[in-house]
Amino acid sequence: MTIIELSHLAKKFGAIQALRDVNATITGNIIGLLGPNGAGKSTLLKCLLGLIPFEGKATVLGLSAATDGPAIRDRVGYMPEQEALLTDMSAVELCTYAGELSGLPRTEAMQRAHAALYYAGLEDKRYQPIEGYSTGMKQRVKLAQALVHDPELLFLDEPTNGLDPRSRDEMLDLIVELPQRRGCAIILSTHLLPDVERVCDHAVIMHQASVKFVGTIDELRGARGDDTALTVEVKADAAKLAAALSEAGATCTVNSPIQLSVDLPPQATTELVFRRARDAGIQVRGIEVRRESVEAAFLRVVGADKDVAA
Amino acid sequence: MSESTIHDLGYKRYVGTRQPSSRRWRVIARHQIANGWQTFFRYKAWLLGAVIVTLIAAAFIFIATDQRWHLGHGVQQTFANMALPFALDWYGRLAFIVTLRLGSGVIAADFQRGAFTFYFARSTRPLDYLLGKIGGLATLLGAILIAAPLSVALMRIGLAGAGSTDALVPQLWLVPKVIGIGLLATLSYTIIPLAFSALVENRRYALGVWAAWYLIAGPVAYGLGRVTHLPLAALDIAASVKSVTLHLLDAPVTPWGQSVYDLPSLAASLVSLGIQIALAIAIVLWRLDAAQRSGVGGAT
Repeated sequence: MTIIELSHLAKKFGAIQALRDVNATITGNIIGLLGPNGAGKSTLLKCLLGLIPFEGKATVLGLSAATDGPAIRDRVGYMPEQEALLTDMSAVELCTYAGELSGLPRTEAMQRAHAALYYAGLEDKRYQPIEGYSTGMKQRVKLAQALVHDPELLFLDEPTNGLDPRSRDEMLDLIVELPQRRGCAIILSTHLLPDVERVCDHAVIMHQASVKFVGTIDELRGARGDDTALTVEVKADAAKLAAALSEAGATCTVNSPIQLSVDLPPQATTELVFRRARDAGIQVRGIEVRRESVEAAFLRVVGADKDVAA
Repeated sequence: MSESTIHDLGYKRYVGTRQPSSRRWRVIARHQIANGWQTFFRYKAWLLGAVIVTLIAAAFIFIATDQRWHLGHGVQQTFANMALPFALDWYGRLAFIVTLRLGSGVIAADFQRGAFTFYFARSTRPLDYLLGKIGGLATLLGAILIAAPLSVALMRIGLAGAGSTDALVPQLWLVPKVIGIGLLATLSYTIIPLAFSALVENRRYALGVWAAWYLIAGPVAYGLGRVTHLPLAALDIAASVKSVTLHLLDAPVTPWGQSVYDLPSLAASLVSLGIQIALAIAIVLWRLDAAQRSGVGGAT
């Protein structure tokens, strides 16, 4: 299902072009929104929520961002990066208030506030004033208040910011479960690319006011269309196989006695690896096409553009 | 903490109707009232003060009915007739304290804690927010500036009614007059402090600037107005409200001996309060509109 559709979207602030002819069709369950500072992510988000006027066309959940901003915001949850909580309230009061502000009747808002806080793991602390909460607990309240009105789409802005490793893991677990448990899609804006690698199935990369990549994480990592970069696992003596493959024109790096990275020569296939291994009397236990990390792929997408710009 | 266990309490998607966005201001107003009611010195103490003033006014009306109050300028009035101007004067002071405790800090506090992201990432519009804040604060202040004086007015009418019907009928006019004065005072004490709160994004500073406007700038303008005979005196909110009160209640002198001729004229007072209220609304909406545009964003 298409969540967001952008057609010739453009936005200018005075002389600054914040978004330039953005075209994209965004689908997926958990979509990573990536880009360096100033790439246009915040501006895109404001356009999508119908908070600022723009040129071109943008639809969110089938609604026009230009004309149906309030209706979109009723169906979207937003977890901000910065602290944006009414700290003199308890978590359950805040979430109830958030639910009512999104149009839920008071009783329904209260019930859903409890449920959202349970989901976020704050069941024990939900009656305490928020001002006494730790950073991790505040992040959980922010997630709960974004969930309370039952949104179909969630914008999460740096949800693991300031969290210790364990809290970060727990937050990512909550995020990963959301599409299945709550039936909502997620747009995750973050600088932490390992988080994207762990939870996202799709990615949107923005750079210099336009979208540079839209697609699945697998497409991003394998976007080179190159399956001659392999990781080979053997029973033993990886160095011997590396030597044999090097003679055939491959470039090899021995990672450990049982693993090596191989870049095959042009037109060669995995058949070359099996043949050389058999000749050398080495048992091959596994071959994987070596994928880029999301971080490397991101740098490639953004970096390539930098080269063009230069 | 949940030790990573995820609970969803038998979650089901909400399929009921949602309240139309035009009603969201009521939610904000209700929240504002609840917030004011939270601690004793935020509002309850001053409401209690209004109750005490009402009781004193009742004593003026029913116990010291015919005793004369020497007001200066050769004017004397019975305690029964001066009860309402006396009470309104004190209600105004109490309302000002409420603005210091609540009104002048409301929007500034929301700026300080980034609450506009919380409000405007939803379907809440700046106008809903403003109406909600005004509705909530006006309800709280209205209890002091409308309900309390109205009860004094009704007591005064009751006393007159105990005499003869001829004495009662003229007193009935007190009801719309008191409601009018109370409404104007409520709007002034609700909306004008909000503008300072919206301009200064720090709760304490906003409170200070509002207090300076009310307690220093207003009286200075009043003094200058008296010296220069220009309608500057009407910039003093307290003096303007007093002027409207004295003119509508046909009282020539305040309980503290201030002649109606020393105060800004009725027209100047009404125009000044009207302009200050309109300007305050424009300032708040302008600031809220900017907050809506900048308060929501992606990762930096």
